[in-house]
Amino acid sequence: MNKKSAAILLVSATTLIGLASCGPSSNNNNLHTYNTYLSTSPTNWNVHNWQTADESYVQSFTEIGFYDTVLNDARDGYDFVTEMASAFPEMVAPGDLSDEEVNAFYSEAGNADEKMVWDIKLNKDAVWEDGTPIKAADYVQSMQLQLDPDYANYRADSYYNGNLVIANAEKIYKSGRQTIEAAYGHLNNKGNVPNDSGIYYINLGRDTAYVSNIFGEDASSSSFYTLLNQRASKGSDAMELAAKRITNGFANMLMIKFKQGKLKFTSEDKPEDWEKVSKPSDVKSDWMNYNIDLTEFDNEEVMTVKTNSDDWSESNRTRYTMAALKKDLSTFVAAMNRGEGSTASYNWKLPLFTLITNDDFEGQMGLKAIDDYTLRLYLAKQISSLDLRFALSSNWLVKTDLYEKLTSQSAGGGLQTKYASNAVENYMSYGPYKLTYFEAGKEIKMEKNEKWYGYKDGKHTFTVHNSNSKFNGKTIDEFQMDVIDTKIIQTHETAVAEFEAGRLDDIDLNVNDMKKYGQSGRRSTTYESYTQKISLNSDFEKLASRQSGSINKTILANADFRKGLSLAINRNEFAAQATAGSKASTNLLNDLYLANNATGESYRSTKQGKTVYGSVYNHLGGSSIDEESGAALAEDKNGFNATLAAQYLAKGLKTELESTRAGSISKGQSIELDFPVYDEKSANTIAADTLINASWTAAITKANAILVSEGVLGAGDPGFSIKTKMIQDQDYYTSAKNGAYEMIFSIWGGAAINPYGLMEVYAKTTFESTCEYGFKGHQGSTYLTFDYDEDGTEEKKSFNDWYEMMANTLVEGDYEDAVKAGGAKLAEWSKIHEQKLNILSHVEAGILNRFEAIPLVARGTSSLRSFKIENATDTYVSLIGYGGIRKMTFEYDDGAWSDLVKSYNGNLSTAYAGAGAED
Amino acid sequence: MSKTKQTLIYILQRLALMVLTFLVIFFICFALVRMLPVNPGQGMNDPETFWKMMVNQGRYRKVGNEYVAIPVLEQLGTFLKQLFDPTFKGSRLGYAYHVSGYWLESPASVLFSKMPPTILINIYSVIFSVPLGIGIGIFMALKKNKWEDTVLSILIMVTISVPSFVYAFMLQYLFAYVWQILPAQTASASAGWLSGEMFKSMLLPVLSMSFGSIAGYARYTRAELTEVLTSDFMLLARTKGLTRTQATVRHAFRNSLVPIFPMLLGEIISVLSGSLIIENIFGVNGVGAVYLNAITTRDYDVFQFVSMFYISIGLIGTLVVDISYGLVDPRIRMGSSK
Repeated sequence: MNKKSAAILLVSATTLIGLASCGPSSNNNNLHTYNTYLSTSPTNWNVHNWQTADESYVQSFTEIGFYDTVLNDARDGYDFVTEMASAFPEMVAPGDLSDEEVNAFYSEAGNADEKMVWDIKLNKDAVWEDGTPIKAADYVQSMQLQLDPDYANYRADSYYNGNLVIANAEKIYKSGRQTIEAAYGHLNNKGNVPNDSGIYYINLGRDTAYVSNIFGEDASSSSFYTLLNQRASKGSDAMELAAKRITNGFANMLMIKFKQGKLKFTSEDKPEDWEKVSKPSDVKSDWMNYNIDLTEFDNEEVMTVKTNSDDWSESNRTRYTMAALKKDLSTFVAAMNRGEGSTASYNWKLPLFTLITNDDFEGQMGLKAIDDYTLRLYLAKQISSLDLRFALSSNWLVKTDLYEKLTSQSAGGGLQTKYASNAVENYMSYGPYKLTYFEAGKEIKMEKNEKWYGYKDGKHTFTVHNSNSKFNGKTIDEFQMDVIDTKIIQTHETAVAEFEAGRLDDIDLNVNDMKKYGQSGRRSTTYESYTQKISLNSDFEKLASRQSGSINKTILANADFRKGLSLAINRNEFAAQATAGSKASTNLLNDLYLANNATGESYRSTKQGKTVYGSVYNHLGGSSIDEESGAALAEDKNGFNATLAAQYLAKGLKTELESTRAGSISKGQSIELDFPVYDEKSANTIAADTLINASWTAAITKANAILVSEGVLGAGDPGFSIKTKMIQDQDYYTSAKNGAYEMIFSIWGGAAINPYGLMEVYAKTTFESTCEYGFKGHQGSTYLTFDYDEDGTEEKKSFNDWYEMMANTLVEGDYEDAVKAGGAKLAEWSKIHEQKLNILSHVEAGILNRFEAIPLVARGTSSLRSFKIENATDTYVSLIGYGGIRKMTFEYDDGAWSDLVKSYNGNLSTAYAGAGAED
Repeated sequence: MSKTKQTLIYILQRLALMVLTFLVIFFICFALVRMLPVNPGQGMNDPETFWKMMVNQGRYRKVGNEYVAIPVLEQLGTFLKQLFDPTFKGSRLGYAYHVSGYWLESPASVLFSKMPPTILINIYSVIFSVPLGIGIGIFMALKKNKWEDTVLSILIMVTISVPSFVYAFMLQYLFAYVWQILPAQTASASAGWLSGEMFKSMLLPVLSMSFGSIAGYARYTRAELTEVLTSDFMLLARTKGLTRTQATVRHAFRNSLVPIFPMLLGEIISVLSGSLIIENIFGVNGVGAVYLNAITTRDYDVFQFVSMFYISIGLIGTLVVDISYGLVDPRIRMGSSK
């Protein structure tokens, strides 16, 4: 290399290093920047099409609904506020409709019913980020695009398939297209569907009106599989056999289709799942949402079972033709004998689906602009003002000219738009923030939309109630955040390191992180409406049939022993060691369940909800009194009391040792509990199993000592031991349903707005999947006595009857109507409401007191937040979380934050781990 | 036959062989990918549209109400026809159903849009590793069998034995979190590809990728130079009065470059390829992520296109390297003559 070359190289290197050291700084020290991350990058954020949570991320900042829920002043629930609307919905009386309106939307019924036509007054200050006013016509045109059959937009069904059913929306969306629809409801009295193709499909995983007609609207699932599964053992032998044959035959057909590469796969079923399927009973109910043409049963070598079992051995299999399937369908439907046409010759069509060519629809859409700033909604179904506000808390508004400009012909026919995908210029914001940078797979940046009305209207302020905030007691503007900078970080460890270095303001924690940050005061948890429990088999006969030799299982039939097992588990420890973010719980219903949908009042915060812990654990966990001796005990929390646990185990063992019943425990036996789990190799399951075994072994060792001291066991007698035996069983709920277990983890949850409905899984006699085998089927003959109506007299009813009463018989009606009417109507509403809550709390306590269902944790995910920000509340509120970005306060601006990080030498991990809990 | 003609024939033969190899690999890849189950639930608004696309692209045909896969050979025929048909409307190479930001983008535009950061990192890596690797190699050769050589040889063996992602995590931990000198993640495109911020953010991935190359060049250069330095002509050069430096630079180094130069050409061509792991660790929004995403999301068209693209790069690289031997050293004769 000559001197000239060396000099050039040197200059180049110096220049590059110089550039590196004086790179432009994008930080403005006075800004409030929220740095966060996603592990996967969204590919689009089109409100008409989004499918995954990531795809709804951008619009959660850049768009806003007509109404929104905000944390209430008491910080324990939510209030509705107007955003893109200027007032709450105003009902239009049917009598006020013009003839033209009635003819367009309600010609068949003659007129609309009450609560079917609503006016929405729009916010006149709302504009796009470029300053263009948003008017009623924009909403109408946006909805036309949303429902346009050529686009086949994924979210179209939000406007005809739920509470909000816009008149003609479904007809417009399906206009001229072939769609597969449930035959039920379309069949005429001759058993034909007008305009059908003559092709009928069976789909066990898709909801059908046939099943919801039998189960009722509130059922969590209305798929034919659910009906077959739940009703199979309640009917005749022929009905049971037909149900088994249909389920096994359909599952076998899917196995064949998988091998042919014709399954579509969803988030529920993946090829790797299907690879493991060797018999129909391996096919999960979640994997059955496939339309199979009935004639396929003649084309493929489909098999099903001969007898009423899932035995898939060669001897129990037979060919399943279309004729055989039709016959089984007919048998099952006739035996159900529910629903129109169930005894007719065409009854086999009732649970099926058929391909319908939808007529071209030329009618009007049930959304009109009355004037520039008034929208009128014509609905096909009544909706309460509250439900309408819920439904309109999201939006369908798009910048229609840009949307159409970015539209092109799809390769499969139809149209597609690039609106709200891939680049900032493909999108227009109108919410509190505007999108300013989008690099798929790398970074998304949003900044304050200065054109947003909320920064100027004086309505978006709040008073801070948080002693950790420098704004405590002050009234400040909502949406303090200036910039949201979202990085795509795929590696969890990198995200944690970035958080610890002060470059991210939140981090999701996994079970390993919990060891370090489990006790941090900066940790907050987002809860799900699921409670993870141990469900025990308490049926003596069943347990006796499952034990042999020196192994005992019948001890679980003893209620004191079960109580001892429950008291032996430290739920806080369990949550910390075996979960990532779940919270110790002693309840069947966690904090998310709402007692009052309109106010957001949590069931757990009602006086009835608060009584449950005392009813169950008053003298157990948390008590300072030894129930046996009256001596003082160390106080524990959350249903954990090791000393009492040993006493109850000893009591149960003593009773059973003295029992002469065949199969009862005897000296020298060891207790072994079969524990079917979904995945025995899962880190969480192993951690949970280890902790439970250690807890129970410690408790039973103490119980042995008590038994020795009481002379029940001799000094030389071997003590009792207990251990669980994990068994991999991906269908363990079915095992539990049949009593083939000693314990399982059962995880039930449901709609947070309906706590009463969830009690079905515990209290309803006919519910097939109850996990507590010893109690299952006995709910109708096990009684609870209490004064539900507070009239001074106690009433006695079975668990089943109390459930039916609170879930079905007692109906409060619409809360807001009652409040509006006031007086006697409101008093009546309150009376029934209190009765329902009284029953709910007593049924919950009643089930817990049996100690067959032993709650461990309320499921949730944990995250840490940086010192930069404070949430509006420490209490998790349904729908609102901890107050959201709207009421988040920034304790440091970017400059001050940078200084703080430097003062910690760029590593805040110790500070976060040691951060104290907040008030 | 003249030497030029012989060389041309050799190059043409190699080109033909390259095309043949490409076609064989392409066909195997095509057949295997087309035999995989398709996923109508992915990316599309409704499965029916997906199936229509499959029909339009000659992959499936509708028989009754069923969509039946067309035999692979027939699919290949349709694919080639569409590829060279100037009147065909649509993406000739298939579609990115999931990886793309747009739903139905061509796999080629998806790949090429992710090229800049990958190419940049690789160029920096070449600039960094080649001089350093060769320099260390020369130093070791000159200090052959002395303690400096032994220490560096051990270090090189250790470096070659340890996979690059280990350095990547180590460097990230030390530079980005312990000493906080460099960012842990590469900057986004908004910083500008040639900006100082981008360069600084790319230093860690560049270093992680360079260690292996530096060690490789150093070892190779040392071996070649050692051999040349002990040649008779070196003795002659010294005896005719050249200093040790003059003899090393003018005679030994130039001769030792003959086998090293083609290696450099290969390295330059491979700047188009990304590293799955390094890109993932440092958040490089490059082609490595596209390839990985194509596999995990079963985006077959993208997977096939990216695979074939890199196979082409590999084949062209090998060809250029082979041909360059003859160009660099006239003593090497290309082709055979009877």
